[in-house]
Amino acid sequence: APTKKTDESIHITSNQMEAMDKEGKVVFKGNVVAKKGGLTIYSDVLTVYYQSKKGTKGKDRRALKRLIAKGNVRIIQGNKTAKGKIAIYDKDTEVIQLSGNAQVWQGKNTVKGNKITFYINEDKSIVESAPGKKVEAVVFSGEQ
Amino acid sequence: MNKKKAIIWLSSICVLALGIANLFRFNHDELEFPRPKIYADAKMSGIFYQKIKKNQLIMKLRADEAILLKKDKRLTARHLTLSVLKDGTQLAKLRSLKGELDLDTMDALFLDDVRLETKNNGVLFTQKLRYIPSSELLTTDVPVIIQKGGLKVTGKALSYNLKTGKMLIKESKTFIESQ
Repeated sequence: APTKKTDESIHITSNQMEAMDKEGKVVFKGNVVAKKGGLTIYSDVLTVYYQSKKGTKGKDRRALKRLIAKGNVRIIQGNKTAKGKIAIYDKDTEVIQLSGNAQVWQGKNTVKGNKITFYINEDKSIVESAPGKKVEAVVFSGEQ
Repeated sequence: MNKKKAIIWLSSICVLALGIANLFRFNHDELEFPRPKIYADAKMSGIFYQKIKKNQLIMKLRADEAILLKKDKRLTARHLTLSVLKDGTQLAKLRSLKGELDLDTMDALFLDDVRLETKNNGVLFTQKLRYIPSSELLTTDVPVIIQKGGLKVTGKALSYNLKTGKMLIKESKTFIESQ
């Protein structure tokens, strides 16, 4: 499927932000809301990992590498909502992995599994079950 | 006759009192509002101050104007720039319209249009910032804006440890530019 170019800037609000330059990370705590284009992630804690790159004019620029959301994680994209304990977003692959009683809804349809992987640019997701368990899906016929 | 004498006495006392009151009428500031006077021990302009510790330059202070208050062990300054250095590297450079330096602890308070540049190209803007050299800490309880390499953060309060590079911001809003 063609890769859809999404709005790349990210807005994050939280009760508290802790930047640790030496470790190349910023930790947001308390009512964290992170928005990127049409995607919104809610969580208790969000850690942003970045790497320093040389930008234009040789100035130091921070390039986002990864986001890890923990605690009451909710992800909303369009009419899809997902819930879990931990979500890991990888910038390069534009993929989010949600785990910990992961569940996703689209309208009334819902799917539960051990891990759900969202391919943001391809509008595709894969649900995996824990070993020895099954994925659980509830689909309403005629549901838009 | 006595009555007459008493009236004369009374009126002369009134006239006298009026006269005295008139005398003080022009500097009633002194009389009515005895404002505390700040006795500046020294007033300087075009200040350049350096602090060296174990042969290492650790601080440079420039100011257009400064007033030394020996009794309070305080130096108040206007249009000042403070640079903090360690092992020859400039950790931070701070500018503001007003400032105060505690000559005992070297704690510094910066006020009005405060701008801080850190060694890793971060820039912070606020209206009040306190620098505590003993713990190499910068703190403020008023709103701040921080810009750094495609990152912009606003917050309601901040504390920044120059030694560890750890920065804590309350009620933060962060904007990470697209890369």
